[in-house]
Amino acid sequence: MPDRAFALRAGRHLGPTVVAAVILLGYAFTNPGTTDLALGVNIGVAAIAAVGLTLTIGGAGQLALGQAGFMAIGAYGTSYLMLDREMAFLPALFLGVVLALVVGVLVGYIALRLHGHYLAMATLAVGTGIHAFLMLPGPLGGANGYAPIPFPEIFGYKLLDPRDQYLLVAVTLVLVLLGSRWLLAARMGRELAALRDDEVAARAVGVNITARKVQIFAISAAIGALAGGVNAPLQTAIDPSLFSTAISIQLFVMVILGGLGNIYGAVFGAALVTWLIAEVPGSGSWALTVLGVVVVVFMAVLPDGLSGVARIGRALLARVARRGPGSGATITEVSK
Amino acid sequence: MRAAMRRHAAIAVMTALAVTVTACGSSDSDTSDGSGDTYTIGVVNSTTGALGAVGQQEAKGMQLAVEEINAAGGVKGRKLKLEEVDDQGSVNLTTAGFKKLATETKVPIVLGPGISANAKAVAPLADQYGVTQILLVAQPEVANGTKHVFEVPLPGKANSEAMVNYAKEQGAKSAAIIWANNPYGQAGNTDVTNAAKAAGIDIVNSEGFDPGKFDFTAQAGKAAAADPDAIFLYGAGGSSDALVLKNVAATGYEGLIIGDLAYSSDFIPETAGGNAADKVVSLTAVDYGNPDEKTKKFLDAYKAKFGEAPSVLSTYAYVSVQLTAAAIEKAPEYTGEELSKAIESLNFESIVGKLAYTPEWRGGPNADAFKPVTFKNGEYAVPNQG
Repeated sequence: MPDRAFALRAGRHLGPTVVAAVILLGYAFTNPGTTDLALGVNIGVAAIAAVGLTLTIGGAGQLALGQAGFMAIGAYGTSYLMLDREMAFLPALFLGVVLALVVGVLVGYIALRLHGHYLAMATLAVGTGIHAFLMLPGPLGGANGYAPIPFPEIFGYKLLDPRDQYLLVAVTLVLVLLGSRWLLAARMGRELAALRDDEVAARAVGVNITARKVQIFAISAAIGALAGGVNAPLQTAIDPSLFSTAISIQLFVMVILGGLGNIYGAVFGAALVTWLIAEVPGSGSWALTVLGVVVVVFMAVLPDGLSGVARIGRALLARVARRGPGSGATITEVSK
Repeated sequence: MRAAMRRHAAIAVMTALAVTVTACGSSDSDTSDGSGDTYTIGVVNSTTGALGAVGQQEAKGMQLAVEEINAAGGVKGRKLKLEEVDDQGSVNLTTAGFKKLATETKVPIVLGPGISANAKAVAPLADQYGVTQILLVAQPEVANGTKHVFEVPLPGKANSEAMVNYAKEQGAKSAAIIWANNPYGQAGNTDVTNAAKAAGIDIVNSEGFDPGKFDFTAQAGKAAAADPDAIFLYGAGGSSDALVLKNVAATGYEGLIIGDLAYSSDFIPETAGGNAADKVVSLTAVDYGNPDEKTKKFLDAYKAKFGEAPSVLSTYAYVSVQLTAAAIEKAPEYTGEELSKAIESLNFESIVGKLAYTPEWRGGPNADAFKPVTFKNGEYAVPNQG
């Protein structure tokens, strides 16, 4: 029985991500066009950052609005180490993520004393501060941007081909989904859920609020930095506009559209928002207008976000099943 | 537990399907761009977003050029057609848009973008995909060393040198600078400061301004209080430039006010006020004050079509289409390789100067191509050189 229970737990944790991995990675081998792969990269990068944000907002109930700032730390950190220090991609990415982790710890400590709107404003200020810092003229290029960042090279293989670039992002997204799913299902995830639902009660039952808040902010920041750090060398140039307050708000919208606390929903949200912005005909202004309407409609019709679609579908199926005469269950019994 | 498994599996499948479906929104098609009765030219531009004004001006210039060329019979008997992608000022969308044009629309030449970071992001792609690219940024270092990338704008550094040279000719020994805190203005600040140092002009004050604001009395006051012989203004290409000029004039400053090419925009007199506009001398790529025949024809046509004078950005975009048309005319085939060779061999005489490219130099004309322009009673005028 313990083996079966373990298998069930492992399946519950791994199953959805494995399915997602098969489809995400398999897509690269269905002969997609370069344009599709480029859009896939943009969706994947946004999805990674949105999943990280979901852990903070949905997992722990901490309203954080500065995720683009952490993406910037990862992007600029990785790029600076690759371009100015001629470091290889993977170590540069690792150090960029570690830097964001450290900043995330600091923000986590700030979060200890703040709640709700005040926390939202504080994290927004952190993101805005990072953006403002990057705008300053200096070795990071200021508003002119930072380039030319070398294409990523892994174990001597340069990722020039659009499919390779897509696969890098897809693999990173799958790993992030896997880690996040494990984290939410583990003891830490349950403690975060307790913290989200009632901080006082969570403290009363022994949850270390300080540690958990700091940890989740650090992890979220690190995942955001991972998104930025993977994307920067693929684009070969970055500038502060990629990490503005507007981008932080877009990431928040992705999390909301996906359904708070659901990491797969966040991927949905990222796909929807990124696709809208890239593909709505006319121009970018129209895309944002349409996005605004979509958000309003979602809040009215699907307050649980895209992940709520699955719940509605299951409820409908259950209703249909209840109405059926005899139902499949009886037949199953007879067949036995 | 099984229910939970099913629930998460369903969500995961839907997630993956969503990504797949969205990624399948468009697929590569075998669009021909050099056959039939048209030549399709790709454009990556930022017509929306924070710097949307830049792209909108460029779009107008390109539109006019295409209309004129097509009205005159096109090129080699075929019409020109622009296939435009709006990157919204985002580097991510610039690279995606370029790849779309190169692999889906299959254009052999792309014009734009006009924003620094976006241009830097696509320059390597032009060589990778064998597509000729004409950038609308004033940073030759982005295009130099590439195989297929060229620039039309006069280098920003050359604009700065022209401003400093003008100040020196007028006898300035000290100067202050007020610059827009955006890509263009930041580069201008650095270039003007370096050029002034080389010319022996002492920079006594340097102030950045946010182009999104409306009040610049603090920056203007500090610059004027330093009592320099000249104040350099490096703008953002928007109405804030005029407001900075207005604030500087309001301090009662009596020295030279020398603006970059952004200060040759036709809205300067209206927004800054006549008195302020009359005081600024802009070193600009378009000879608004004393246009030759070709330039005058362009200025008149633009005004007739859009009801305003063309900005320098519009002019660069206009020239980029003319350069493309000349390259198509000369190239034996409509391919990136042949168009690049043709552009390099053209030595194209344009209304912003001679576009002479070599394998090493891919930037626009040099500092000599800048012309001093001012305003008198709201109209363009040649400044008093005394």
